[in-house]
Amino acid sequence: MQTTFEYLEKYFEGQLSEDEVKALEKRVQENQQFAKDVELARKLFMHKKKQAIRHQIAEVHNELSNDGFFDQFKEEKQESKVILMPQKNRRRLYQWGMAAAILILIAVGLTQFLRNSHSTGTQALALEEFYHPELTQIETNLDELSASGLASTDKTKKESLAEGLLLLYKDEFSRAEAAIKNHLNQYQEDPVALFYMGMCLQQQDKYAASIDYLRPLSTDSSFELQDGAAFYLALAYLKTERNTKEATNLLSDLSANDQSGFQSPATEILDMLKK
Amino acid sequence: MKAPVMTLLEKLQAGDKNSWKYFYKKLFGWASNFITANSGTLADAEDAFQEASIRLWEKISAPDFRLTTKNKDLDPYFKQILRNYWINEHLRKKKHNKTDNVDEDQITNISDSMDEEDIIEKIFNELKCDKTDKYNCIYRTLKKLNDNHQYMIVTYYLDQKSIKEIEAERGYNKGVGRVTLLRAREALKKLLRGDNGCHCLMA
Repeated sequence: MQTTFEYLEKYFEGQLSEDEVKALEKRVQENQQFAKDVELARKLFMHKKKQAIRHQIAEVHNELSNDGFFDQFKEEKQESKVILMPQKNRRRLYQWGMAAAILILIAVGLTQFLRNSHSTGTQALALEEFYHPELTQIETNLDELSASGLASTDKTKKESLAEGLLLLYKDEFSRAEAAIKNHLNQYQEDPVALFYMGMCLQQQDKYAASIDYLRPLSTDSSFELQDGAAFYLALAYLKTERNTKEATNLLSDLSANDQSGFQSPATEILDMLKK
Repeated sequence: MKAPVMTLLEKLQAGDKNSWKYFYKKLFGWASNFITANSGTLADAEDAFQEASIRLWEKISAPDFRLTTKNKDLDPYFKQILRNYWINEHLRKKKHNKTDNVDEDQITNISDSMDEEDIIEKIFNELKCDKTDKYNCIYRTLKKLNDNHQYMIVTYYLDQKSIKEIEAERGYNKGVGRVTLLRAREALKKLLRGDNGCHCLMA
């Protein structure tokens, strides 16, 4: 039997006939030295593939570089330097952070929601790409948020919430839930915490439980994130199939609102529901 | 519902160029923000992204790989790889840049980094035969090495374990691993250039 690298490479690639595979595997079982040689060839085979991927990725990188893809990040970095604010403006930054965090949840939540709703791969992939620019901006803001710290006038309250939000950001949903719950024990009326509790529950597929947190916020016009609450409440209704009519109403309101950051995703979901 | 991500994963695994481009466009913004917010430059971000992409490919190509993130989402998995890479790389650079208080560990690390060049690639550059033949050459030659030397070359260059890990695994005293590796490299070079070595080796 051949034991060249070329032959074993065919084995790893699944290109040998059934009989050849059987013979080779029998020999591996019977001959310890041969088994060692096959293992050595396997490692070299992986090395070869790794080198090919390395070249492929470098090529992709160069092509993107030639297309000027990386230039936009130089510009973005310059812009973000402008955003760095003195202490007195950090409250505003905190609000931006909140808004940014919502957008990340839109991007993640909506993508997941749409994936669950549709089985066609290309559709979900296209949507992921569509929401990418938002995701980039969100992460920038969240980095700044954590770099500047959430502390300003009500330090303890914000730190307590920040703990939950950072866990949420790190996808540690059950820990985030516990931290936000802890925050809510002290600050029961904090609408931002109620909102994120809803988000956190949805991330854990606890859509029904999230409804209780989001419903009152969705009708509270004084709440800065009312649109977000309405949007995610609609998602929860659709996921649990409890109140699809109300979900459609909420999405229709958002879709008709030019000022809402949720207009576009709401419209897309409505379009999908119509199909 | 899991099809899209698995499809992307499979395409990345197969080295599909368009999928890697898509992956870049999707996550480089995040990587750039992360690295620049953590003492790095855009050039560092570009390097880190490439390295993390290769590590991702290694992970997803392992036979026992199972994606356990929520909804089988590849993004958090990649982000974690890049975070880990950057933290380790950053700490390593920081350690090397300290010229004062040089200790023994530092010297070991600097010596290790000198060996990071892929010897297989280095040998490749010296071989004139085509790619498959090059692997045949190296495969044949590695088989001829004694067990200890073969172990050193394979574990260090192919499995990419550190000298420290190898020493712990083999029960060697500190420094023995490095010396053994140097001897193994010499033995490999000698065999490649010998009568039964590679016919296409440059003089």
